[in-house]
Order: sequence, then structure tokens, then C-alpha cells
Amino acid sequence: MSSGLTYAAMRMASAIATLLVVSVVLFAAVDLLPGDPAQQMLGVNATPERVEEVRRQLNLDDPAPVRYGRWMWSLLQGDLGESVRTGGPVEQIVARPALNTAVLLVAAFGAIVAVALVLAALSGVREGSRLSNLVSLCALGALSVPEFIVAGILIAVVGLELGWLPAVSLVPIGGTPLDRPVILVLPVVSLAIVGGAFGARLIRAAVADVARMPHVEAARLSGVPEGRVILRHIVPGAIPPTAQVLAFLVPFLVGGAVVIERIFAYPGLGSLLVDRVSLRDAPVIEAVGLLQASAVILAFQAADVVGFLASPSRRTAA
Amino acid sequence: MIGVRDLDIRGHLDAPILGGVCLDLERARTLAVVGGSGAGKTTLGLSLLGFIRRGMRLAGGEVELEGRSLFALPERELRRLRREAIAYLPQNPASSLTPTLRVESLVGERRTEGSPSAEQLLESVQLPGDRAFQRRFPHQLSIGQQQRVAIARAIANDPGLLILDEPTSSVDPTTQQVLLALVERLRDERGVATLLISHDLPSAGRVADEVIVLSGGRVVERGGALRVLDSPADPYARALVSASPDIAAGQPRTAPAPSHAAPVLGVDALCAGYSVGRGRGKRTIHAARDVSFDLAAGETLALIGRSGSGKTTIARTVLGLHPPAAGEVRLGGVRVPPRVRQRDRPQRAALQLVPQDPGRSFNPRRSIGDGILRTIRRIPALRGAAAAARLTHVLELAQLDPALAGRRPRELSGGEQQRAAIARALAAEPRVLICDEITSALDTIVQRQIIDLLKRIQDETGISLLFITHDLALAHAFAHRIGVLSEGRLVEIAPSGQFARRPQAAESRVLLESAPSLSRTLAARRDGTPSAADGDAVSGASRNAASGARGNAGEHAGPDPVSGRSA
Repeated sequence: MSSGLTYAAMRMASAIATLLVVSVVLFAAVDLLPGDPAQQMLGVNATPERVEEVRRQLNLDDPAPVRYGRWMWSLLQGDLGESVRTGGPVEQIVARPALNTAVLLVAAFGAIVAVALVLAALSGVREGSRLSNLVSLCALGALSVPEFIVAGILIAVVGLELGWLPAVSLVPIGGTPLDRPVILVLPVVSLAIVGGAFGARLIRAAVADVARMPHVEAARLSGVPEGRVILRHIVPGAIPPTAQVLAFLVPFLVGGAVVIERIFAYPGLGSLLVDRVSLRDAPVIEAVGLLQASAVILAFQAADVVGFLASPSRRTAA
Repeated sequence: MIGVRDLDIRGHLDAPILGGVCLDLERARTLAVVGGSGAGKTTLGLSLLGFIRRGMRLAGGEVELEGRSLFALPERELRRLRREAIAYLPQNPASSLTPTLRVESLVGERRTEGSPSAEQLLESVQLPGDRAFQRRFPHQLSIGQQQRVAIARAIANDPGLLILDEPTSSVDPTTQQVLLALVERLRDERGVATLLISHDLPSAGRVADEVIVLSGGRVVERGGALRVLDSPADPYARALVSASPDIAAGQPRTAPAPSHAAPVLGVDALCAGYSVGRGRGKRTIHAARDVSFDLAAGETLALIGRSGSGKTTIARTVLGLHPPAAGEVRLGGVRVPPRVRQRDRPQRAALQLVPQDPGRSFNPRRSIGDGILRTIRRIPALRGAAAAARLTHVLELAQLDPALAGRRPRELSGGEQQRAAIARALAAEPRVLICDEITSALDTIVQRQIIDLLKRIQDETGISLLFITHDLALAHAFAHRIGVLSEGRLVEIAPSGQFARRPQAAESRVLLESAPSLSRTLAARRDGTPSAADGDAVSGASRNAASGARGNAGEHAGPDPVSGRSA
């Protein structure tokens, strides 16, 4: 397994490099947002002297590379800075919403994987069957509907008309979403319908690619029972492409969660991000952006490592 | 043991694939089904497993295995029969190995109670049976080893019936001998019944008790192997037998005394290689080393050699598609630039390629007429009526019905695709035609037709041919001279007749001894002695197996005494 460890270490190094690049882009983008943070903090009635004083306090007059360096330096020491709008350390502001979003994303990801894998396995293994075509068609349909429309329909029908589930996903103060899991149902379903359709379609294609290979027909012709054909002759070959598809779901979910959290008033990172962008609270925006980027990068690196471990020809190469 | 009654299988638009096929196979007997491509041989083999490929349907008849009708059995029961009683080796056996499973799983998966151990199975196909070998994945084996693992996997269930689909067409000669010897041993020791599907008549002639000749899905002749292969009664069967290349029976082509004073093509001290691997594992494969030959007007020079001997690289380098490391190519005594981009139009026109896989060398979405016209517009730069006239002319030269010009490549048979590729090459009015394994995908009858066509074109136009093949019998019957390649070196070059009588290089003798010969095989069987070639090849197999390492162990194992001597 030492080649696996070497590979994972190499991937980790490239992940860190990627994250550094992302941090530069993120910092630049936030820096380029229109408006002067000091002016915004103090409101339109502040005197020019007061604005100038705050600018100096926040070191806003230093050149951007210097400010980036200072931010990165404190970041490496575990200090994310303080909110320029509400005060208080960014860690505290971000922690609770990050946890809430993590719960939502893990639940949605789990639902998507379950739905996509079952649908893909059912339809990809026997390509061209009626079930396979039906899954493909439904997936295409679901894929063409944006998640906020799905969410809107769910709120209107299940939440308000039928009243089965809460239409708003408020988390009790000081609690976690797991204290009232029922509030998660509609956001998770909204994300999972579109994501599941997307995942099922791509995983189905990956499985069908493997199922079409001559060694699968050969296995059936040599009398291998169908369960074993699927588990030993098809599934292992489909793992690397499937891991890639699942990794692609992560940026989709991270982006989708921003919209969905807003719609359901769910107190996650997405809601926080939207609030703080309008407040131009740079340290918080940057922290949230880095967290989201880390999740996406981590997902792709994990998929690469899984693909590496699951393919004998790469794992055993010199 | 297994019987087929009036089997009728239909394909797309109810086109008959098999019609009224009957056969019986008893214990300890071997039946060969021979015929050209498209005769329905594979469909027949699969039906013995109770399997019909998608797009085909059973229109009548049945297959009975020990009294049970296979097509009436549920899938579950069929799988059990395939698992316990039948062994099937598909065409291209290496592709039947699942890349994510180790040798131990691939072989072990099909073992049943009373099967030999995985170790014994591997050793029975001349592979090392040790633990380290069993832990390998298919990609860690050479192609020959993969093929033998596939054989061990097939027979792991101690079968009563063995179905082999074209077992000798894609496997190397060593594996071929291992397989045929195994069929004989299983028959003698365990009473295994074998159905051998093949267009390779010498192999069928060696092991079969009975032969069925299939043509267009119907049985046109059946009988004892010696009788059918020696004196077939049906016209198609006769054509099949007489088209089988036979080094022992064939006459070498007599040279038209081509004048070598001013050769059309000269190749001088050509070296070419390519690098493989990355980083520390990077190394250079020398595919052509110091290769020199010339080609006279109207002459055919065959380059023969095993796979990996550098044949295709030499062709590509001469054409300017592969950069040479050293050496030069001359046309009519004048040196041409090494890269095809640097060559002018007449130089490009002079050298034309007929590729190995003609179907894929045409744009699949356009008609083959379009493909040929593209060459006509680019090289002789003809337009309009003149281009159309040239198209008709080259189609006639290649004996391809002009009505087929509007079809797309996949709507043509393999032989027709090959004629189209020849017509396209001729459209440039070349002085040299370079043919790279153009007959290896064709069955023997079509192969013979293509060779006859090339001979006629050569007589009419005086064109020169560089004919690359691994089939010595074919080279012997068609080429004026034969050049033998071994590990990138030209170890011998001689007129065909002289070559077959007195081969000089060791590699030439190996190739001559392993060349298929129906007449030699049949004669040996009448005398009841295995031919010398078989014995040699089998001992060669155990040498290969012992070296056992990954990659092309057999082909790159140490310095070759032959190349040392010829240098």
C-alpha cells in the first residue's frame, strides 16, 4: 500500500497548492467588490476624518499583496480575523452555520448517492432495457429543472397546501438541525432530486461502459451467477469513474445549498454568505469562500485517490 | 452428448444467420466448424451455450445437452450448466479477463468440486503456478500469458464440453500449440468433447475427427476431417481448402528479373525508435536498427517477422509518419525529406499506404467514394469530370463495383473495404504501394482474392509493393523477395524460392518451421506422427513460461545471437 500512501501525499500537496491559488483569487475578488468597507461600516453620515481613522485601523491603505500576506500569515496561525461589521472573531461567526451546512450537505449527498447508485445499477447493468431508458428519461427531466423551482413547488405543495412538513427550516436557537430533523427533509429533497438525476445519469453511463466490455459477456458465458457478475466483474471497474461523478456533485451541492438555504431560511453558510456579501464583511466572506473551496478540492482529491486505489493497473505501476 | 437440430437463427430484418444446421458431438470427439467470415460460426458456437446475441432471435430448431433443450431452460439453470459442464473460450481470449481480478480469482472462480488446483491448471497451460504469479493482475502479464490464463480459466471447471471460437487467429504461435496439445490431452485423458470454430484449416486438420463446412449459415459439407480437408466435394469447401496458404505445397513466385540498377525505393541504414514510460521508467524501444533494402520497379518485397519485430515502424518511417533516428529514404535515387510534411506532392504521391484496418481508415460518416475522391482532389489535383473518371478507373482497377462507391465503410464487407483502400492508394498514382498486414483480418478465400488482385494490378501498372505480413506462407506465394525482421534488424533478405529452401538466419528457420501447412499436417496425421514443428514450438513455450516476467518477456529476452551475427 506504500504506493497508495505516496499517491495520497502527492494529491494532498497538489490540493494545498490549489487552495493557495483559490485564496489569491478569492482575496482579489473580495477586494474588488465596489464600495469602501470603512465608509460602509460607519454609514453615510460619518466624517471623512473618522473614515480615514478606521481605514488606518484596518490597514486598508496598504497595497493588496501586503494585506493578502498579512491575512494568509494569521490564517496559518489559525486566526481568521474579526468581522468588520459585527465584531467578534470570524471563527465564532462561521462555526455554527458551517456545522448546519455540513449536516445538510452530508444528508443530501447520502440521499443522492443512494438514489443514484440504485438507479444506475438497475439500469446500467442491463443497458437498453425498458427500465434503463425510463431512468434516463426521468433523470433528464429532473435535470432540466433548477433546484429553486423544485424547492418552490415542494414548499407550496408539501409545506403549505398539505402542511405535512415545515415550509421554513428554522434551527432552534443554540441547537442543531439534528434536534428537529424534520426541517431537513424539504431542503434535502430539493437538492437530491436534481443532484440525484445528474448523478444517476452519469453513473449509469459509467456502469454501462463497463457492462459493455467483452469480459462481462465472457463472464456470463462462463456461467458466473449474475450477482457475482455485477459485484466482481462490473462494479470494481466502474468505481473510478463513479468516484469522479460523485466528486462533481460536491461543487453542485455547495452552490445549490446557497440558494436552498436562502429559500428555506436555513441558518447555514449559504445564508451567512449572502448576508455578509451585502454587508461587505470581507473577513467573513473570505472564510466562507475558503471553506467551500476546501470542501470541493477535498472531494476531487478523494475521488482521485479512490480511483487510484480501485484500479490495479495504476496501483501496481512502478 | 450435445446435439443441434435444424437450428434456425435470424438477424436484423429476419436475415438468416443460421439455417437448418444439425450436428452431433459425442464424448472424446473433436468437431471442427470451418468457414469464411460471416458464415455464422460464432453464432453457432454461442448457441451451444444456450446464448443468442442481442439483435438475433431463435426462429426454429433446438440445442440439446444430454437430453435437455437449452433454449427451454431458465437463465439460472443455463448459468449452472455453463459453470459446471461447459468451457467456452471466446475469440480474442485476452479480452475475456476482467482487469480488476487477480489470476487466482479468474481461475479460481470457475473451479468446481473435483477440479484440479489453480496451480495445476496454470501449469497445464505452461504458466508458472506459484503464489506470486497467481497474485498478478492481467495487465502484469504479457499478451501470450493472458491468453493462457484465459484458457486455464475456461477449463477450470473440469468440463465435459469445450467450445473454442477461433482459438488460433489472435493467439501467438506458442499459445496456439499449447492449446491444441491441451485439446488432445483433455480428449484422451478426460473424454472431453470439443467444438473447434476456425478458419485456420491446418489447426482444424491437426485435432479434428470431423469437419463441418459452413457457408452463409448453412452446412455445405460434413465428414471425416482427413477426407473433407483433403478432397472436399462442395465447390465452396474446395475453394476454402485451396485458398489456405501452405508453405509446403505452395509455389514461390518467380521473379520477373526486376532490374536493381535504378531501384524505385531505396532505404539506407534506417534507424527508428520510440520512448515508453515516464520519469525514471522512461526508455527507448529501438523498433528499426540499421535497416537497408531497395525495391525495383514491378517488384514485391515481403517484410516478415513476429509482432514487435519492427515491421509497422519501418513502414511508417518510410512513409514519413514516424521520425527516423538515422538513415535515409530515396525515391528513384533522390533522397526525400524524413517527415511527410516536408515532402512535396510528387514525393507524397509516390509512396502510398494500404492500412491494416481499412474500415477505420475511411471517415465513417462519408461514403467511400468521397474518401477516394479526397485523395484524387489533393494529390493529382483533379476536379469535376476528370476526378469522376479517375474514380471509376481506380474502382475498376481494384475490381470494386462502382455502385458501392456511395456506401459508407461499415456497409461494406471486409474484403470490399480492403479493395476500397487499395483503390484510394492507387488514386494517387503511386510508384510504391506499402501494404501493412492487409490480409490478416480477412478469411482465407478473400485473402486469396486480394492477393490475386494485387498481382494483376502489379502486372498492369508495374507498381512496386512493400508487403508487410506475419504470414510466411502468404509472403512465399506472393513476394519476389522476402526480408526477415527480428528485433528491428533485417536479419535476412533473399528471393522467395531460395529462402524457403535454404534459410540462413536462425529467425528464418523458426518462422519456416512454425509456418502453417495443411498438407504437412494431414500427411503427419496419416503417418500418425506429430510434425516436427509442433514439438519445437511446445518446447519454446516452456522456455517462454519459465522466463515468466511481465511485459513481452519472450521478445526482449536478452541479446539475440542472430542479430549479433548479421551485424
